[in-house]
Amino acid sequence: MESSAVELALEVEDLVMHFGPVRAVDGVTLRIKQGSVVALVGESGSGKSTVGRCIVRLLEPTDGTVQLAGVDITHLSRRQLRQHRRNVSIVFQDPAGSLDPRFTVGDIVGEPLRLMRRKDIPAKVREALRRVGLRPEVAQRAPHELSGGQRQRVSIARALISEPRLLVADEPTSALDVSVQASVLNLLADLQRDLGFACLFITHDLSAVEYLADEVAVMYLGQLVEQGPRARIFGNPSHPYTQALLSAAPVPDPAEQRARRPVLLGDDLPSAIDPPPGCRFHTRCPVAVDKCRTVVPVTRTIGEAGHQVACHLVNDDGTGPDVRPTKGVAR
Amino acid sequence: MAVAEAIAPPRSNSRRVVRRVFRNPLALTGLAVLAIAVILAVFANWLAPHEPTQTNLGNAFAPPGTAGYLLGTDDLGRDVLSRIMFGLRASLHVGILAVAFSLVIGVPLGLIAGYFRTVDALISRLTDLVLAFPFLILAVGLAAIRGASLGNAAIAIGIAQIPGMIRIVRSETLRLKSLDFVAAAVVEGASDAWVLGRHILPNAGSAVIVQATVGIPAAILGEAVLSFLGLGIQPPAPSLGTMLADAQQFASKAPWAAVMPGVAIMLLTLAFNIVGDSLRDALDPKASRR
Amino acid sequence: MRPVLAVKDLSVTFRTEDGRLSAVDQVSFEVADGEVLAVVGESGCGKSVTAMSIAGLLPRTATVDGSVQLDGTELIGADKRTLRSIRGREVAYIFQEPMTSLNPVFTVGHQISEVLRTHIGLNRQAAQARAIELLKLVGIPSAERRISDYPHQLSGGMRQRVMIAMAVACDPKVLIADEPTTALDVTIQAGILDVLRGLRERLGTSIVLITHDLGVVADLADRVAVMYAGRVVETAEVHEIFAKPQHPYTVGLLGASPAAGRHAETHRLSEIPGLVPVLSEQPDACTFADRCSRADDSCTTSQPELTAGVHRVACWHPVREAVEV
Repeated sequence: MESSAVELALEVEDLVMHFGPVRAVDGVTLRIKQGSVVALVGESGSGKSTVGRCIVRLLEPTDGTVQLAGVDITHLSRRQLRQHRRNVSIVFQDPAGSLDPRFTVGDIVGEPLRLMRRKDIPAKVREALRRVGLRPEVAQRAPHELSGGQRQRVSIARALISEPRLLVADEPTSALDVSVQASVLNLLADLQRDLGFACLFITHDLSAVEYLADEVAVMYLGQLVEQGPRARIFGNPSHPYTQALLSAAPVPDPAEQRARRPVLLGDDLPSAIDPPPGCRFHTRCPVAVDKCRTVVPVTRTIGEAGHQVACHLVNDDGTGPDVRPTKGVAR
Repeated sequence: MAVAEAIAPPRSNSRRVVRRVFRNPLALTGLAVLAIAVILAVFANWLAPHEPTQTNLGNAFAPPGTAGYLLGTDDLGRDVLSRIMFGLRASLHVGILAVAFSLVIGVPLGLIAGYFRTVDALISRLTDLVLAFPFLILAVGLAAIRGASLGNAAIAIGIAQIPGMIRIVRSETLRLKSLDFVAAAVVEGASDAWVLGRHILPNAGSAVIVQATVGIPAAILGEAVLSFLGLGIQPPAPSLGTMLADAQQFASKAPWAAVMPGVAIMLLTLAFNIVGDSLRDALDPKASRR
Repeated sequence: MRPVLAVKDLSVTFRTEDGRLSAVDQVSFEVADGEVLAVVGESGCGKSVTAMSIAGLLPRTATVDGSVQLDGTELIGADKRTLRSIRGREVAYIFQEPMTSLNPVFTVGHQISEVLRTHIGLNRQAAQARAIELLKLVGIPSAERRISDYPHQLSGGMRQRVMIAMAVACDPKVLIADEPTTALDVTIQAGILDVLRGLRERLGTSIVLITHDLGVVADLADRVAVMYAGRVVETAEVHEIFAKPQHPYTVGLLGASPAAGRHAETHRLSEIPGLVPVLSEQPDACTFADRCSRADDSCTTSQPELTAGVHRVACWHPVREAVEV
């Protein structure tokens, strides 16, 4: 156990985060190996951002544990956390709100180093800016003088200047235009390959997931329903929700898109205050049976290693229901 | 490696604020009135044609325009113009002192209330208590304990302004605290003091400046009221409020002695409010977009 | 056949405190009966301003030139009465954020009925019955019950369905859908796209779909107009534009979205260097020239016009060779 813990950049065990009556996260278990990219996918209200905020300890979990590089940080104080800050950084969605408007770019990127009382900060800031594809002169600029994509590069430079082992990227491209999104995704892929940090990539954008992630974890209403290697999840998803999610995301190819048929789930997402009993997805699941309405499905490893599903209807070899309408019915 | 993106030409935030204020003719007028008032008050010793307390009973109730007495004289023959200049000095003195007092107490309490949820309720209830306490009773009480003086009037007015300052700073802190750049600093290991001092206070600054500019005219009016009631500056030293009070009984005989300081109070407070309003508009980043 | 909507040489400029801002420059397009035209572009390209000027929703700081004809009636410069009779009745508009467009203090049934009573003059009972019909049309289950719900009782997807029901209440000729699914999750989006498709099939409504999402375009559009910096740079039938994009900007845009089965290890997304220009005045040049790898002197000295034909492109050096997207 000890030796495996060292290889893990992140180990989340049975994480629970309740805000009063709202059960935002209800038992999430997730591991990220050193140097690997795990995408945490889900729709609004699934609790994926809350998981990210627990991992960087902006929130103190209600229950469960969070270990960064083998250190349990679940209940550490702010002062104690400071010794472990090299283990994790975060990049947020909104490139405008994540940079202090009264700081220059250089001050923003250098802030983590100043907090650590490092020397040679200007040189390191220049290097960090160069790494994210910004000219050194940008250091003197104010955030509002930059475009959205440039601001997101500044955010990434700040997050990586302390050389963290884990980067939590919370919807880093969702507020950006398509062409800018592409350059930020390319940048994240380059940096991850060159620097080798582990990354928890939180997003609802499935095409970005397929581009960036090694593994994929799918969340629904505070719980993980399926996780596994990218090729497996995209090629042959087992959980009915994962199948529905993938079928609903339109692809930018009219011939292919018109040959697909999305699984229509209905608009009413149950509330996280009073989640459905049994499997939480049963109210929208097209193949739910009686058992799904009463018995909570256990997360099991099925088929190949690392592929886990929480669904009664999936067999141990990975076969199971396919909620997708048959292909080829042209519209 | 990714290609370096082009950078848009620099646009300075503070330059835009200055430009916005200067393009607004109303704001410019307000600024000009304030500038004149400050010059008159600061250099009253040299600019005033007469001693403000020098009586000349033979020349009492001289109407405006009398040679040597541009705005006339009062019941004791004192020069109204000179007394207004020195009165302005007293008014600005009280205004700045009171607002400074409310800043020193209100800003830290507002920051603490907005940032630490545990003490928020306590500070907010205390704020309500001060708000519910009648201002005049506070001033009378303070005068009774410490004596009636300009300084004590300023303190009474300052205390009355603290709740407003706390509320502004608290709501700004609450807003800023939820922004991602604060979260990013916390994740990087910033302490509460670092977050408050480096991120929240500087960003709350513009709201504080606006609140202070609006607080000064309120304090000037407060001083006029207190001096009118004898709780402020002591005779024979002039303030705009005492001039108004003294001239009142001769209002039909020498209306100018009351009207002139009244007009001065009005212009001064109006100018401060206009400048405060246009600062608020100019500092609002949302108004910059079409 | 006469098009339902014909936009010709539409230009929009705004007065701002930083001076004039040109948002839309000489935009022309036509929408046929029952056609879905997607207007595609990134933020600041002028696609929303174009849509708002068709619906007459621009603020007073805007100056609009050119012509917008709805079924032969000129809308630009039309008097208020004409506009009122057309807006909401002949042209309807759905916004990105359904919550802000619904009145929180009235039930959805009341809001739909009000549209029917003011525009068509239905009585209370008839309006109520028609409102239920409309809610069914947009796929709201148990519409009889939902009609007495307030907006806050509905989910985001349901609200957008209600907005669509209100928009099509008077059977408009043209529906302008401005990023109708951008604020919604993908599983909800799929349902809304289905509703829009159904409207076109059942009611024959023409739709102008404003979006930045190429997946949505691929799903719904018949024809596509790509906008960049206030101008239409390319327009073609939907299969054509995805298969054989000719404008370098369209090529870049298509290459920028990750495709199925592509991972960073083996593929790289195409990037478009530089920024979208903010223009006070439209230059006599290609506005994409400074970001374009194919640009030469002709691109910076004269403005390319849209070519004639079915697949129209405004470029001096269009991409004719096959591109791998």
